[in-house]
Amino acid sequence: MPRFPRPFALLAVSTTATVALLSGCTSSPSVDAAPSSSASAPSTSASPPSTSASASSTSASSSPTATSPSTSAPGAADVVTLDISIKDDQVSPNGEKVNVAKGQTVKMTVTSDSDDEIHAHTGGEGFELEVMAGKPAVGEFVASEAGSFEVESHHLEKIIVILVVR
Amino acid sequence: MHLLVPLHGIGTRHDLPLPFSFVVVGAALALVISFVVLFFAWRRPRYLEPGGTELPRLTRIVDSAAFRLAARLVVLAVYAWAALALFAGKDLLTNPVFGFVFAWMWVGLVPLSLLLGAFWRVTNPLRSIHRGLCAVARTDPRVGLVELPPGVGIWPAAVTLFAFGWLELVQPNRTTLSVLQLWAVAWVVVVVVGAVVFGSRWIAAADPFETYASVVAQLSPWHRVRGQLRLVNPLAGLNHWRPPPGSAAVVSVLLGSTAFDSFANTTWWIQTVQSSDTSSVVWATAGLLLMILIVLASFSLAAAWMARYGRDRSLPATEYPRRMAGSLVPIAVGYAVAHYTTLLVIEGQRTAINLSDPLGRGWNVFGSAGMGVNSAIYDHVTAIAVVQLLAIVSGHILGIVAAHEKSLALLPTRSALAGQWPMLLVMVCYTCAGVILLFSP
Repeated sequence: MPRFPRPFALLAVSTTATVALLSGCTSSPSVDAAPSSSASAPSTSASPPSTSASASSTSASSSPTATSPSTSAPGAADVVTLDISIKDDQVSPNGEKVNVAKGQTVKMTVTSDSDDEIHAHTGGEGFELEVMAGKPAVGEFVASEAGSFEVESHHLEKIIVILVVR
Repeated sequence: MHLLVPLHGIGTRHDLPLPFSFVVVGAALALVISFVVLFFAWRRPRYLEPGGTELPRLTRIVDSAAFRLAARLVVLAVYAWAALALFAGKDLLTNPVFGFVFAWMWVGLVPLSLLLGAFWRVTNPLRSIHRGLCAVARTDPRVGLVELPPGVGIWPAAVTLFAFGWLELVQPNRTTLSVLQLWAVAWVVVVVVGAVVFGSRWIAAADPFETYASVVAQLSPWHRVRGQLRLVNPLAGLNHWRPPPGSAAVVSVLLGSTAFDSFANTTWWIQTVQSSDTSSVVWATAGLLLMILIVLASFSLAAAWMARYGRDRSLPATEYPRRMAGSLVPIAVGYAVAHYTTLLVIEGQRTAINLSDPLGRGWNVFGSAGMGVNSAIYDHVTAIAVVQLLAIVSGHILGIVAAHEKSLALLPTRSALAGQWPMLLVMVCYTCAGVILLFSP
């Protein structure tokens, strides 16, 4: 029976192993996180239907009006568009995660059947968008800091999307 | 523009999901290390004695009346300042009391207890208040009106810790003053009135913060043996801990509530709750309770399994979860570090800044009011992920080593392996669940 190393030697060895393993692994996520690469939510592709497969393809949302985030126009690679609809106290998208590259602009188009306020946390002071019932509201802000941020309906207290900014 | 009131806790920003490669590495490490420990670790208990270096001079200093009085007064003053903000401040997110409670008091307790050991028991402001009351009434703080049965242990703290977890994760409008005032008054009344009724032992049994601090302090390098402070190997110190009744429940509440905090951020949970007609308070209460019960049940069953092989046949299976409770402490601490480090750094700074102006009148008492929060930590995305993974994996390693050591004391050598594999399996599950929750699916 080999003598087992002291626990702290074990801890040190495994720590080193972790760091070594991870340093081998981190090269791949950093490719995904490269700004303006097509790996993140918005794609530079000019065909919106194909881009909508990104970010929230796992969406369980049933509403047909819930279009996934996609680029608004060709050449607008630095803009992520969120089409948000609020109806019968349900939000759409419904709590999905949306990948955003740091520095991209997030543009929200909101239609709601009741007056509401959309809050987007951005790491700074945040962004607020007043929405009147039946009137589409448009607002945009720059995702300038890395992190996961909630975009929520203030009146319903529901999370619309979580922006994953890298 | 005013600060937005966040729906969830005080942090308006969460950590990025852990990269998937980190999840795989973390899970693989947990599995491999567990098997290494199970098959190759020592076969005789090696931490029966706490060992370490005796520190008589340090003991004299920290036990001196002047040092204790000074430490108590400093902590009491800090709490009085926070209470000023709580009861006389403005109901804005710039009120420092929110960060004081959720970042400084709750999260900050973990690193402080790891570094300083069982300091909270000495400086607990509620103990100071109780001691003051007893001095006025000329009674002995240790003696109450009724004697607390010894079997109570720290069971009351399992309940009060659950209550705090509920406040932190479920309570609607928790970042409004009226809600927090109510909870603060309830906390003081439950702890201080209980101490008057049962004597000061009640504070150790029921104050959620003191109990949390005492449990985490078992992992600190400072340990008291026969009144003398020692600098010890934290594993030896942890092994030397005799967990009071209710310890398994307390540690399960800590681990379960942290796990639920992560679980509540998964897309599946958010969508399920938001599409449902049932109130989110009901969902979150049930989810929090269920998560804690899963931890408590799995841990208790794995510990009770050991009774089949136990050295001491007269020790009932129900005693084993308590005896083994120490091995969950590193895992709970690892979870807490992984989940709340960035929150402590960011909201901790914000709190320090806002504490200069507790009443929102433009004061700058400590000169910190004009400072900005340094959020540079968020630019180090990979570093945060590495710290999170290291915290979870280190907690796991210390946990299984502690469990192994305790098993050797409880089980005969030949059946140590047969007796402890369920415990190892349960711990691997906790660790894998921990990294998957950080991946935030």
